[in-house]
Amino acid sequence: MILATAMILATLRLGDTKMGHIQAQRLANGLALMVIVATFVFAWMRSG
Amino acid sequence: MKQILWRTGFWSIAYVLVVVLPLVPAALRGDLERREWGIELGVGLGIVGLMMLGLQFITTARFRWVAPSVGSDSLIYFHRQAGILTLLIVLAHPLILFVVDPDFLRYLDPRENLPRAVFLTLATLGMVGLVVLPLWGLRWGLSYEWWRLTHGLLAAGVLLVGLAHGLQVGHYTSGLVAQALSVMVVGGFLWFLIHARVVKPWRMRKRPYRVRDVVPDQGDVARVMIEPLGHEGLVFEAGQYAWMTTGHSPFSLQQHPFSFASSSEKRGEFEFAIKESGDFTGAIQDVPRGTQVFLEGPYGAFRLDSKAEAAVFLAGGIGVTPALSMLRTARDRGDQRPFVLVYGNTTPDAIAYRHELEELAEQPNVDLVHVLSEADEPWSGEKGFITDELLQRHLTAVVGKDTQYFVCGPPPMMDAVEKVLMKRGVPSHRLLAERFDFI
Repeated sequence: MILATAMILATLRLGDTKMGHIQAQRLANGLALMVIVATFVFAWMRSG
Repeated sequence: MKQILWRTGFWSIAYVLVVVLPLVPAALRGDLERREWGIELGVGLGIVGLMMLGLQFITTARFRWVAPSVGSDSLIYFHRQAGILTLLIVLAHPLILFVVDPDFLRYLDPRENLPRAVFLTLATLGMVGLVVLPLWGLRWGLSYEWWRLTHGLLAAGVLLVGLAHGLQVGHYTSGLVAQALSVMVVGGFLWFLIHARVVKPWRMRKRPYRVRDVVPDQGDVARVMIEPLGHEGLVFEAGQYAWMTTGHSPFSLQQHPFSFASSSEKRGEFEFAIKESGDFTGAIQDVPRGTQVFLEGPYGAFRLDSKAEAAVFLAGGIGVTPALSMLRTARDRGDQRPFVLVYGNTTPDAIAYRHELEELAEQPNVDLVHVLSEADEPWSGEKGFITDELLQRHLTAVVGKDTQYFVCGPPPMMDAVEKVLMKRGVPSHRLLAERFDFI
């Protein structure tokens, strides 16, 4: 997860520019994706 | 740049860890029965959806130590996108459960439990409203103030129903410890809302300001001078902004962001340049002297870096305000670094602060370039828009790897100028833009 975050950050050009805004949205998408993957893992661990 | 990445990386990892944290003790509980994968997925999405909703309170809590990582505007864009994703995850929670086991539909059956069915339905509609209202509410005629109130109340309501639902289902919240932790976590999220909407205004109550004067300027701009009443006033850096509330109560829903126009070296008086663009900005132009106001701030990362070797301001219309503040501050500090202001307007009459800007440009280290899109024949300066060719003509002397670029103005002008600057190879960490797109 930490590695995935680092990979997302490596592609970002953050700042209060239009590009920064687009990247902030991409960051939200990336983080939500990681959360969903973690939830899938949780469901796999808990399922019988 | 590295610092920005480190900070953003820290907050990103913290975000994901906080969201998935409740899944860890839930996954490790050996005392609970194991269920179908789909059911656990649906339940897990409900848990993380609630956590993501809670974190939305933090991204809008106006913490001065968070925004500089990514910029205030970018934080709001993150908030909006995270809101849409939270809605999708929260909606996926019941949908997956209904598909995997239709017996879960009883949660919406009023015959089995009327309050539960009503509150879960309302919370689902409220969650949709949280995303739809900011996108469409203003177009439908909802005022900014009412949107702000309903957004906060809806979010708090949905979060509380989510907590009550989790406690009532009682699977992963069985046991006193799990219940207490759930209440504490949701209570913590709500605290951020209470802090922003109640605690901060309560503190501002003791630090009122007064309108000392309102001076009309060119370009339909009013120069609003404000002085603190019984205190020294806040300390800001040139380029920053504050949220302004007029009237006797800081709890008013009428709160709008304005950049400081005054020098940050000047204490005891603040100037804001306000152009009429709505009800509030129209009313404040006619505000009587002596009117009480409250200022919350300062906020914003639109600031001159002490390590920058030069600064270029690319402004349009009222977007000149932060540049003016930085130029006034530089003059007061005796800052001899090169400054260039490229200022776009429609006509000569629309140039705000024209006289003072021309005075500032008399300093040997300050260049002022007026660009008019609708200039008449007598105008001998630049005509048209801020283009690559125009910048090529005027910026050659200050271009360097540590030159800082500030862009502020109407959105189409900002989009065009940012594109030009990126094409010219300006590194993103040296390019700052202020849009005030907070809804």
